[in-house]
Amino acid sequence: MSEILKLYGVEHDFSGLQVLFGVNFHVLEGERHALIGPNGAGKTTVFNCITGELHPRKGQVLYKGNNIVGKRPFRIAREGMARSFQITNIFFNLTVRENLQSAILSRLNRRFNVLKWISRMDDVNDEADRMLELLGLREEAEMPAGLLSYGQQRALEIGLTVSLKPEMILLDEPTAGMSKEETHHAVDLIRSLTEGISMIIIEHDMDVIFDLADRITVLQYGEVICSDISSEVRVNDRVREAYLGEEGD
Amino acid sequence: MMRQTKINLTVFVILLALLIGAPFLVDEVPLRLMTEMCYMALFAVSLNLLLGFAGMLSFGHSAYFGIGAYAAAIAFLHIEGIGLISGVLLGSFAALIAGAFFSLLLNRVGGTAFAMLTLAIMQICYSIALKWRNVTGGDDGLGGFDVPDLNIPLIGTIDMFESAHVYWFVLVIVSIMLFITWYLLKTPMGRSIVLLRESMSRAGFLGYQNTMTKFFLFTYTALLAGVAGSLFTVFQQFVSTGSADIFRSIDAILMTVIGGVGTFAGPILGAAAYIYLSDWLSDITARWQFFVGLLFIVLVMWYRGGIMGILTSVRLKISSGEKVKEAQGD
Repeated sequence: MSEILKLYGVEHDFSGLQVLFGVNFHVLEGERHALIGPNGAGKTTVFNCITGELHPRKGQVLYKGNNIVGKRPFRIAREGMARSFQITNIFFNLTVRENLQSAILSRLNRRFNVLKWISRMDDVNDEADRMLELLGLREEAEMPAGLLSYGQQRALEIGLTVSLKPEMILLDEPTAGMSKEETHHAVDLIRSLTEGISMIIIEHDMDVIFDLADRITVLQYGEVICSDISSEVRVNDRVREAYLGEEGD
Repeated sequence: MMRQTKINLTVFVILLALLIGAPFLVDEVPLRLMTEMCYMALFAVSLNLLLGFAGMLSFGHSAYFGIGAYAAAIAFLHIEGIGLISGVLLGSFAALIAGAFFSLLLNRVGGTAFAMLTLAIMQICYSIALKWRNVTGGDDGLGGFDVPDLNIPLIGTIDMFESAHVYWFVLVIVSIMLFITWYLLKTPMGRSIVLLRESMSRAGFLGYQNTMTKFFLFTYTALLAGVAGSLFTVFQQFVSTGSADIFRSIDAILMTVIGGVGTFAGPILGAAAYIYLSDWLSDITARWQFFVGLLFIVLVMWYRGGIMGILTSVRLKISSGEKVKEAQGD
């Protein structure tokens, strides 16, 4: 399998405070890759450097073989990379249906169409209906997204990213703040919706990680201390040390 | 649902008939007031596209109104044999160009900085109107031009001396621009504008190029304001710095808040209510602005939705009352 994404020596700092010290890892096409590490390790910063929210000071981010450092988020999104956020980021005052329509319209490159009403675009509305079904939000279709339960909002956020039909998807703690049961449901949803799509997921729940991920990259203090298949990471000494402390060895 | 659409359509048709028939129903003075309501409604709708739909507070919208008004006046004054429509088009086009130009600056900032920058741009335009005396007439304003007749091929010529003719002309142009705007808001472009308000970061990561949306929005709203300004010139046959000062911007903000921010009809109703109210109050007291201010406070504190909000809640009450009756009847 070939690499869809490769980070090479990515460094970043916030006004002098260095948070990434040369991050290297790669993601294979079609694999589910987990990015884990203690709080403050720089996981979300890595996401922001990949998706164009931040431009890393040094290093390269190769996506499908091209360096995408310096490109703005909407450009990277149009090249088939979608992301979700740690803090729910959806269109709260729009209905659930309108949220999904917005993602679908973007994918179909109809963002600036001024001639046809959205309500008369049958292809968009049919697809929104299908996605509502998949997300289990049929009943809530006409409800403002802000009135959904927390779990439903997280599901909608995943729905938005998947509606772009991306080649690569980045999920930032999709199950944060969820109960055991909700988490279980969310993982099933992610698994079914992202079939065949390359994925990086930031997650704290170890059950979720070992359940979902093919390979794992462990980040600590802005450095990759291990990047390997799940079973190897599980028994890696440095990872055990990072998670369990000095007495772990 | 179907019944609701029918009621809406009936109300709309009756209103439209009343608006068209107004010159036969009311005297000269109220008709002039209604003309003012028309172009100010268009101006307020334009501001509400920014404030209500895109979530951006602009104090500078009067700049485009003023540019439209002055450009039309200068055209009528200096271009021999210019037609009415050409003059209005020229005024509107000048505002559009200004909107496109200033959007290059406005595109770079958001939030409070955006509001302050619009204020600064407005002040610059106002100063130009005040100081560039040999073009704008300074604080004497620009007058002494005849608004040309309206030539419609195959139908004939309509002069602009009769108040009723001016009213109809303004009504038709405003209606066309409002229809285009109403249509636009239902298209993906309209959605792109609303996404600016909802979450620019989310829209960006979905592939929306927010800077392009903003460029379109600023240019389009400047055009609408310019059309309103040009119609103002046709109506007043005189332009002064008052067309471009901050009070006109604030009028539009008040109209929008009174009518209902973020609704299409809100600013239209708000403009009508505000102009009627200030006319009525200024007859009674010289301190009429005090009472308008009071009304504004009451609305912001207790009726955020403005007139549209009150209408919606009344309609919901009626329809839920009907449902209760139906349930009891069964």
